[in-house]
Amino acid sequence: MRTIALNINNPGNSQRTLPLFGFLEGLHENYAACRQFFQEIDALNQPYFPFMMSMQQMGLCLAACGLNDLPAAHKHLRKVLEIGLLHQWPANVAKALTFAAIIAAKSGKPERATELLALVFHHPLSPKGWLVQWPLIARQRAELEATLTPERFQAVWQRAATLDLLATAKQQVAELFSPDSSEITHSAPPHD
Amino acid sequence: MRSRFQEGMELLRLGREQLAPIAGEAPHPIWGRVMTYVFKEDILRFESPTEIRRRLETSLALAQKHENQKEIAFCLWCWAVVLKQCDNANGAIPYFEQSIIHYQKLGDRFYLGYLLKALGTAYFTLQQPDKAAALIKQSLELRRETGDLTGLVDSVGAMGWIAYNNGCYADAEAHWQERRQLLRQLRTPHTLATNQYEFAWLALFNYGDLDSTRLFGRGDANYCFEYQ
Repeated sequence: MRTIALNINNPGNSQRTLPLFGFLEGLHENYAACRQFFQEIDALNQPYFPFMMSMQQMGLCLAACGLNDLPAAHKHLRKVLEIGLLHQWPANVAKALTFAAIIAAKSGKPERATELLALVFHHPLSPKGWLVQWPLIARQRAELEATLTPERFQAVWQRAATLDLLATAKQQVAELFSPDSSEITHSAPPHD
Repeated sequence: MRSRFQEGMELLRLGREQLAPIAGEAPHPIWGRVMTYVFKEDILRFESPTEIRRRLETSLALAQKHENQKEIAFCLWCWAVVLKQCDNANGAIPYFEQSIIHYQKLGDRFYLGYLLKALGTAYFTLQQPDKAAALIKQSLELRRETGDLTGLVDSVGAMGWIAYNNGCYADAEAHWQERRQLLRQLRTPHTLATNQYEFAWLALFNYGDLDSTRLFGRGDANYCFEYQ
């Protein structure tokens, strides 16, 4: 199937089909293959379309998270968040904040990572099916619980469940743009 | 429809050769249309923008000479599509809009449905989602009124994506179910395969059903491979 997907001799169709296989590879933790699929899409050099660009950047971000390539993950995350916020797309913003949670966890910010993870697991507009299929999420969550202690983890988890999705995303973009993006900032206020 | 683009292009090339006006003769009435016709979405796979522009300018001049509103509208639309494919959505907008004015004057609601959808997509590219969604909704309503099923498949599918991106997942799924029904009504040979992608997306992110994602993805990839 991979061969078929990579041999579709029509850039428009390839751009549509390749991401599905890329994401599947990523969720199966074949991160190098995942990255390759999304790099293939990049090489198609198709005209800019925000949804497609966002999808491609998400795939590259997923691969970078899995490969522990944090500079690349930051770069792709920023792009996904910018497009998502500009278009006010909660679906993609929620997906992006999942990557932000992983990046935060890998950057030594367990409390921020827990907040973001709680938000994407609780927010009604966050697509949740993929979260339980990606083993990295479960591992990261267990590690966060161990790092913070179960009590602290639960407290942060409950507190963050009502965070505002778009406000948190805006804050995340601001953090990514800040000169020292390793700084932890305060959470966005809960929505009513 | 049958994805026989190369053969189609060859037929057009023959048409252009055989209908080309001899020096001093008035061009054949169909000459302009043969010059204009492009396989819109895929055109850059087959010809350079410079070559397409040369043809479209010739055709547009001919249409203007004969005051043929329909051909003028068609030329403007084609050029807008080419510009958009060249990553110049900003440049495409005025041509889409001019073409719309001509089709409005002609009362041609069939082509207006196409133009409104295309203009909406261009506004998405230009990061103006509200304007984009409004235009695509207009195209949907128009296509419902005219009963243009092929066009309706396109607009309904696009409205599904707008709903999905806005977090209205049930609404998105309902649009895609309608699209599936419309494709069945159209009875195209690859009806099922062409509708896999949207359901694969839902299966992947919303339902976490990786087997279905793979299944739908295979259907979509096979379709794309066979009908390229």
